[in-house]
Amino acid sequence: MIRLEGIHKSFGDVPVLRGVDLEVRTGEVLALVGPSGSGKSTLLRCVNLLVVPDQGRVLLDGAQVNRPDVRPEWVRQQVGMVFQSFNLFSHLTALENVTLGPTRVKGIARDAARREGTALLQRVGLGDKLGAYPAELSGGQQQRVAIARALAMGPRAMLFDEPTSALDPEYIQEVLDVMTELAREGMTMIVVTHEMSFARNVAQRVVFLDGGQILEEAPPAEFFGAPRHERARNFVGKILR
Amino acid sequence: MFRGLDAAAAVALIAVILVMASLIFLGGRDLDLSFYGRDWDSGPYEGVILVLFLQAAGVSLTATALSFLLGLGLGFTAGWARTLRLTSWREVREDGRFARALLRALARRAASRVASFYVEIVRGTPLFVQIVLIWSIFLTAFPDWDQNPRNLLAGLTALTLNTGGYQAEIFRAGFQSVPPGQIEAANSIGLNPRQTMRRVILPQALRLTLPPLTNEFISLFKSSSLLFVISVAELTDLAKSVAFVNPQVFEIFLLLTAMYLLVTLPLGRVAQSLERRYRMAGLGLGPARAARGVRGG
Repeated sequence: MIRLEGIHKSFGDVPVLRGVDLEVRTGEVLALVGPSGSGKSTLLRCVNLLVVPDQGRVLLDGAQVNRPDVRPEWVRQQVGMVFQSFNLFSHLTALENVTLGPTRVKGIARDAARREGTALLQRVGLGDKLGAYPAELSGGQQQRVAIARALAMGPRAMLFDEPTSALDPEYIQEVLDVMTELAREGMTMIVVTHEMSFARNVAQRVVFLDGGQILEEAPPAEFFGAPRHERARNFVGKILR
Repeated sequence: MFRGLDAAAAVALIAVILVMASLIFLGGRDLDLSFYGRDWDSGPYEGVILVLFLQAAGVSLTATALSFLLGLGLGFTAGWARTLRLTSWREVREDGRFARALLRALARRAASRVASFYVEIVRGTPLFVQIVLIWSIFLTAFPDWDQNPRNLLAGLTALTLNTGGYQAEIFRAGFQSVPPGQIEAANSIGLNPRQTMRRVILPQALRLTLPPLTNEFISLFKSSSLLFVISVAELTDLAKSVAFVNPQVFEIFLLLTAMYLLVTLPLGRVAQSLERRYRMAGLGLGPARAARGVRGG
């Protein structure tokens, strides 16, 4: 359902992505791993056009979306995103964070949006925090609100950009639990993560990115057990240590 | 505690003003107010000086408020123009719609340049000079106008341009202190650039600009005293005129000092309560719980 073909992207004179092809099937959970600076975040942002590729095609359900006649706002409604540093709107309550998109972008009535938002926050275990502001929530709680905010747009797929890297260890599991639940419900997901347990147990495929290119693609057991590429072996050796 | 202190200060001020007013008269010497164009020898004029000062305070405050409001529009626009991201020529060259991209890039550059130029001029010259310069422009441009409205309009223009420049910097700082992640998040849920500005950037930026803006208002009110050089009938101009023909210079300027404080002290208090009211929950001063579970937080 998500397809990237020959994606190139440079920032200034620095090439970040150098010809990436990637396909994600409906309902698939894909773990995107690689050393820092390998282009994982940029690749993820190419899918919802937060970053516009210099070359190559981005396709959603077979239709190219990085074209001038497709509004990027429309693409972003189809593909939700969760950030490493949560990025909750700090002047809005948890519930308002969740309902902003539905009311302003999708034109859903306030009451209906609040009902749906409340249900979503209950689903991520924050039914008692509707009126709390981001600064009053723990990191784990903020990230769960961020997941609810993305889900509120009714996306066809979700992108996670190192969703647990900024969290203290004791808050990581609650976020992973929500993501695991989401995967079980059949959400198509691309997850940039270093959480090996999550990649192993939830992802169907691991993609290893280095130097702006995909060097290896394999099922998790195979990738973490016996990586073929030398740089992948190096990387796996470092994170498993 | 602060509330009590403020009330005490206000009472003290009013007392000072009354004492000053009576001192000026009880000194046994009649005050010459003939500059005011009326025969003050007839009728009771105890307190006339107070009425004159209150009127002049009204002029000062009105001029300040008007300039400040006009300056808000000017400063907001200029401040926003200074935050525009300038597209590189390479981006323009590679844009599919070259002509449109080129026009946009040129417009952005022009807006940003003009705004920076404006701010630099305002910041780099004394307000006194700005007032006289603008006044002289009015003088040559409208030689047939009555003096009083012309002076007032020149003064308002100078104050507006001045505060607009300083407010531009306040707004620029406000816009730039909204973290980029907030904008990325707004984009990621499908908000378009206008909605992102209205729903995410503005509410946060404006909260941040509130303290410096109130500060600017108070500062502008004090600066309005310089309008006396072009004979706008505000507070300082009145004090100058009275003191020019009367010996009670100290009493008159003490009264003037009290009048300025009478306005600025409550303003500071209003500013404080505004800030408290629009403060982002959990951020800034006050009994907020700190975020837990965020590394380095």
